[in-house]
Formats: sequence, structure tokens, C-alpha cells
Amino acid sequence: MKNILTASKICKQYAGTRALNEVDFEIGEGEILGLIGENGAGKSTLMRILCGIEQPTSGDIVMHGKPVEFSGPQAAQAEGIAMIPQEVLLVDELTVVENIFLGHEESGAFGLSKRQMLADTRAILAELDSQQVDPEHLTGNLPKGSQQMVAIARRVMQGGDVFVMDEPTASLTGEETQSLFKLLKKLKGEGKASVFISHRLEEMLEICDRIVVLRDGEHVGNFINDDTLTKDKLVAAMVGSAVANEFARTVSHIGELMLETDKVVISTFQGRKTHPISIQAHAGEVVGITGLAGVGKTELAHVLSGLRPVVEGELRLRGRPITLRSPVDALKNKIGLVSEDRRAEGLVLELTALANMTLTSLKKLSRLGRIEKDRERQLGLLMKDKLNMRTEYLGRDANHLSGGNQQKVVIIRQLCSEAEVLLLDEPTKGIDIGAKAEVYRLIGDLVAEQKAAILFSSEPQEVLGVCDKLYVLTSHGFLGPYAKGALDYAGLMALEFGTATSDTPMEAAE
Amino acid sequence: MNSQNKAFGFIQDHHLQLLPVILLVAVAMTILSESFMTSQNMINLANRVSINLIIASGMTLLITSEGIDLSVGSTVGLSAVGAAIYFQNGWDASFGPYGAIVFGVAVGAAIGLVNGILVALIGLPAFIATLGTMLAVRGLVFITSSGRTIMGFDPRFIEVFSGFTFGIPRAVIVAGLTALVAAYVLNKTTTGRLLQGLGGNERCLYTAGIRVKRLKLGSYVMMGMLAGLAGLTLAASMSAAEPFAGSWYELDAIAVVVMGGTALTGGRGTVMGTVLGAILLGLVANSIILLGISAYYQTFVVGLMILVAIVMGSPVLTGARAN
Repeated sequence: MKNILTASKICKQYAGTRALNEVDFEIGEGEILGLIGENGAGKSTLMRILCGIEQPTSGDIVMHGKPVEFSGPQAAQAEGIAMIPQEVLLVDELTVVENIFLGHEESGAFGLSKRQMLADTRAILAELDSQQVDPEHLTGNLPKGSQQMVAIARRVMQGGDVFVMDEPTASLTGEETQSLFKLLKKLKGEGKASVFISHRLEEMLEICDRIVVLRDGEHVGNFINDDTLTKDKLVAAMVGSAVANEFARTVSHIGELMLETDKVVISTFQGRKTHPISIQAHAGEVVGITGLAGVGKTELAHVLSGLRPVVEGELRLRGRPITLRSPVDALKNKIGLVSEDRRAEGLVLELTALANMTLTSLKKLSRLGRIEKDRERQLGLLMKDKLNMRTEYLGRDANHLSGGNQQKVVIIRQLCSEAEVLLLDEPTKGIDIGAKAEVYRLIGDLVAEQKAAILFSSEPQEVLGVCDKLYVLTSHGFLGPYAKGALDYAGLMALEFGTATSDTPMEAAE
Repeated sequence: MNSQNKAFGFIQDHHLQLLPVILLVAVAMTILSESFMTSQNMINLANRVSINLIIASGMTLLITSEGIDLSVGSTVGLSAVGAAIYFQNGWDASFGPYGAIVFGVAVGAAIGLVNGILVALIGLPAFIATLGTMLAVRGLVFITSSGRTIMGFDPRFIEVFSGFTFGIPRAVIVAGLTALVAAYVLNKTTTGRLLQGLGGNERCLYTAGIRVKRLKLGSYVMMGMLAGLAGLTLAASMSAAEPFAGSWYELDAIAVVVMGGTALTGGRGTVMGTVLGAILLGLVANSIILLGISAYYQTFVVGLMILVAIVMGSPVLTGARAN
């Protein structure tokens, strides 16, 4: 088999961290290659480099026998690399056929050859078993899965030698996935290669010829997919000998039951319903919710903070059923969300750090609508001491704070408004080690004051180290609770990737 | 050097960047035109600046919250015509001459409420929604006035807005109080803080549990009421309500807000800047007339001033922020 693409000793260095370390990687003609690794292992970075979206710090790429340098996505495309990104990028206001041919319209002597494009669109959709999609329908009105199929059709139509797909099946139904696999096999028959990223190992074992495993930016495994390859072998390679970090935290007294979900079904961003979710969060407890990307962690955080509706089931606070129609209701019930996206959702960047902290507690800091600035500042000074923040930061615009300090400000807002249940969605995403430790300490202090904290995180090390109790969201079921220590890193990975079932129920929870 | 920096810092902190320009124009005009420093000219100038400032004060709060209201000029017209009709129909016999003030402001509040419902509750873009009400309300002005100028205001009503207190024209007092209240609300109150937040990041306020819709709705009602008040001031100063009264006032107001240094992208606003902007705009318009330059140049010059303010404003003026 001839190699279409050979990448050798690829390194990618971001400020301070090494995302890829001397990764070798090759794709042969007609090969379907799987790429796996846990969150942050470097899969997406490698794909982005192959597609010219990012440039490697060092390393060489050889394509069709000659060295290439991709200065941008267009350069990679010109060499025959076709990327299908995770997020579907289509113009909602255009029809399916217009989207498929956008920028590559076929024209004849009298302008666009609409009939030809329509026929070609029907043909490609038929190959994807998506005949039910009307080519003249507006794309924005299609279900998410069909949109993904249109995006794939668009890319295949434009041609290429290597098709790179980042989690293409995340928003597809089982049937649609099978149709996609049929198409991959057809491309394979034409000598074209595909690179395929997915968290679903059974899909990988079904379709891939070879599976490459990345861990912490290194190439740690290369498996030919024969009958002897199992999910367990893949999980073992992904996990390696890593162990969970311990974050020293004084275990606090577990108090009354605060927030509870009773068989709550929610819909994910992809429009799929989750399995019934039943969690219990007590005062003085850090509850972890973890799972792979796309299983609905953020969506659950949004449901608990009134941003998304409950589809089925009941929410209870201190045993009393509650309905959260909007975040206003959540604030009234003293439930506070620290959202995943600090800059887009968590902060008003134009306001000072202090103003951001007191945003939801202005009522108690004001008299007749007038903010008593002395009292506001007092509260700010009290809070910054809890967090080792420098005093001068209080008056600084939120925009000019570091990621770690921004995150502290958002958490402090919940302290100021006296939230009793804190929902922390990926609270340490993109902040440095030092700031991480501070955030963990703060969460520890909070629950020591008999608040309940629910931590939504996809970092296994974090949830295993910080949480008193852990729930695992997966596409095959909702698992848990697991007491602290009941799961180790490998055990958690096995649950997330579906190689083990929930047979370690928590008994000594209280 | 140090004292220079200090002075510059003081000017920035208090949004006084336009003050030197105003002084320059005033001194130049005193030299160039004999009729500039006359009491009659000063009263004309004060009236013009005041009516603009009443609207622009509200517009400062609205633009700080990333809103905008294009219908204020038409609201000025409807409030003025409304007050005229109040007297024409003899309603003052039952509710007294000052009832016209309540009526005019209520007309403004009603239009503000419609804008607020369209923008805050239905979720239309403010620019489009208020463009619609701008035309619809101007139509109402034509319908209710039958396209004619209406006179016959009660002198007591006129006296409220065009009399003098301690030698200061009442219009100036009304505008000054409006600007003071607007500055207080913006810088000292919960509402002002939340309006800045709304302009900075609406999504953040929403997810934090702030009643965003109510806040927005309230800001449009406030804007409508101030436009109503400006309409009454205008009617009193002319002793008449014209069907075209208030035309282009929305653009004058937006212009001085931007010249003053309030960011059109929201999050930051300064009432002091707006006050100076209104004075400068009035001064320039007045100068063009006094110098005998064709009035056609006025629009051209105002347009240039806005452009200069925006260009200069990127680091200097918009960098200034409310404390």
C-alpha cells in the first residue's frame, strides 16, 4: 500500500504547553484510519495541522511523495485534503443544493445549470441513503443529523484524496452512521483515504482499518484492526499508567439534601434525548458529573440553572418540587451557574472586576436604588482576600484580567449573591495550574460552608480528585453515584467508553 | 510635564475632551460676530441645545445599554401636537393647564411602551423596530393635526417651559435637571450598572438571572417619556405645534451622544460627554447661521463632526469610561 500522506516528528507548542510531541503519522491509499485519545490528548490539534488550520512548531509533512507546507486551509485543500469539521458550517438560509455547490456552482452557457446541480445533489444524497432530504428545502429547517449529512455530501462533492472527519457521528442516528460508513467504504474503493475521530470505540472497531492512539500529545499506539483488537486494549492504551491527581481538601460534614433530579430527561444540543438522570446533591458535598464530549453535561447544567427546559421528570430543592422557567427563577432559589464560557457568558468585559462580582447582589448593596459604593467595595475586599487576589484587580476591567482571575471573579459573584447550590461547568478550562488549585480550594471552602457544589467536567483527573461523589453520563446510560475512591482512572475510562457496565454501585455514600 | 499629564487625566476622567473645542469656538465667535454674545442669541442657542439635550440624556442611557430609538423625533412631534389638541379641545377646563404636561409625557410613555414591547418582548432589532414606529408615529402626527400648525396654548403652560427663573431660561433648567438625573442613574444606581452590563454582555446578565426584558422595556419607556417632555418644551418655545416638529431630532441626539464619547457598541456611556456634545453641536449650527454661511453647510459640518469624533474616539474618547 502506498502512502498518500506521511507526517513525521510533528510538534506543536502553545504558550507554556506542548500539545503534540514528535508525532509520526501516515495514511495509506484506500485506508480508513481511526484516531482516538481522551480529551486534550492532541487529536484535534493534529487534525487541524493536517488541514492547514494551524501550523506545526516543527516537523515535516510529505504528500504524494513531495514535501508540503500548509500555510492555510486553502493550501491543504489544494493538495487534496478535505476537512469535515465537528460543527456543521452551512448557510441556513440557502437550500440544500445551494449549500452543496456554494462557491463551486456549475454553470453552462446560460448561467447556472440548476438542473444539473439538482441531479448531482440527488445522486450524492442517495449514496448517503438520505433521499428523504429535499434538495430544494432550506438547510436551516432540517434536523441536525440531516444537516451533518448535507455537510458531508458537500465536502465529498468537492472531491479530495484524504477526508478528515472530526466526530462526524456525534449528531447522527444509528442509521445515518451506517450510511456514512457505506460512503467511507465506497471512497475507500476509489483509493481515497479517510481519517476519522470518534469517542465511540465500537464505531472505530467497525469501520477502521487501523487505529492510532494519542495520549498527552504523544503517539502511544498503532493497532491494525483485526479480530484480536478489543475495546479494552484501546482503553488501556489511552489511559496508560496515569493515576488521578489528589487535591487535598478537608472532607466536610454532609448536610441536608439540596438539589435533586428525579428521572430527568433533557435534550442535548444535537436534539437527542438523554437517558433519565437522577442525581442528589447535599449541602457540604462536591458532586461530579462527567462524561465524554457531547453527552449532555453542559445541557444538564443549563437545565439546572433555568436556561433549558426539563423534558421529563422532576427537579426538587430541599425535597420541594421546583420549576425553573428562566435563570431568574434559579437566582431566586439560590442556584448559581458558573458557565463554561467565561468571556461569552460569564462576564461583562467592560465592567470592572468588582462590578462583575456584585452584579447579582446589587439589591442588598443599594438603598433606594442607589449603590452604596463603600459597602460594595467592602464586600469586594472581603472576597478578594478569600482568593488571594490583589486589591488593584478589583478596579480593573474584567477584560484585562487573566483567565484564572476572571474565573475567580465569576465564582465570587455566586458567593456575593449567597448561592446555596453552585453549578460549575468546566470551571478550570483554560486556566493555569496555580489558578486551578485556587479554584479547587475555593470549591472546598464553599462546601465547608454547607453549600452544595455540582462540578460538570470532562477532565477525569479533576472529577476523580475533587468530587465526593461522581455520576457518569454516557450515550448508553446514566451511571452512578460512585463514591470517592470507588473508581480509578482506568475504571472511569472503561465506563465512559462503554467497556464496563455499572456494576460498582455506591453503597457507603452517606 | 507632570502637571500636563494630570490635567489630561482629569479631562479624561470627567469626559471633558470637547470642552477646549467649545471654548475655542465660543471665543472665535465672540470676535467674529457682534450678534453672538447678545442675550437674544444666547436664549435661542440655549433653547435649541436644551431640547436636544433632554432627548440625548435618555439616548445616552439607551445607547449605553446597546439600544437605540429612532422614533424620538416623531414622538416629540406627537407630544407637541397632543398638548395643542389638549387645549384645542378644552380639556384644560376640566384638568387645568398643567394637565397638558401629564398628557404629553404620557403620549411619549405610550410610544416608548410600544417600542419596548417590540424590542424587549418580541425581540426585534431596535434599529428596525424604532424605524417602524418613527414612520408610524409621524403619520399619527399628520393625522391628528390634519397637517396644520396648531396654536392656542394657555399662557400658563407656555410660561412653565419658556419663562425664566433667576434669569435662567426654564428650558435650560429642565434640560439641566434631566441630564443630572441621567448622570446619577447611570453612575450611582443599580439600574445604571445593569444598563452598562446589558450593553456589555446581555447573555451574561440573562444567565446570571437578571430580569433583562423588564430592564429593556423600562429603558424604552423612559426614552419615550423624555421625548414627550422635549416635545412640550419645543411647543412652548414656539407657542405652536407644527406637523414636522421634531424631524431629525433623533439623529441630532444620537450624534451628540456619539460625539460625547458613549460607545455605540454599548457598555460605556457618559452623560457629561453628551452635555458637551449638545453644546458643541448647538454652537456650530448657530455659528454657521451668524456667519452668513448657507444653512446647507450645517448638515455637512455636523456629519463631519460625527465622523471626526468616531475616528478620534477609538482610543481617546471611547476609552473614557463611567466610574
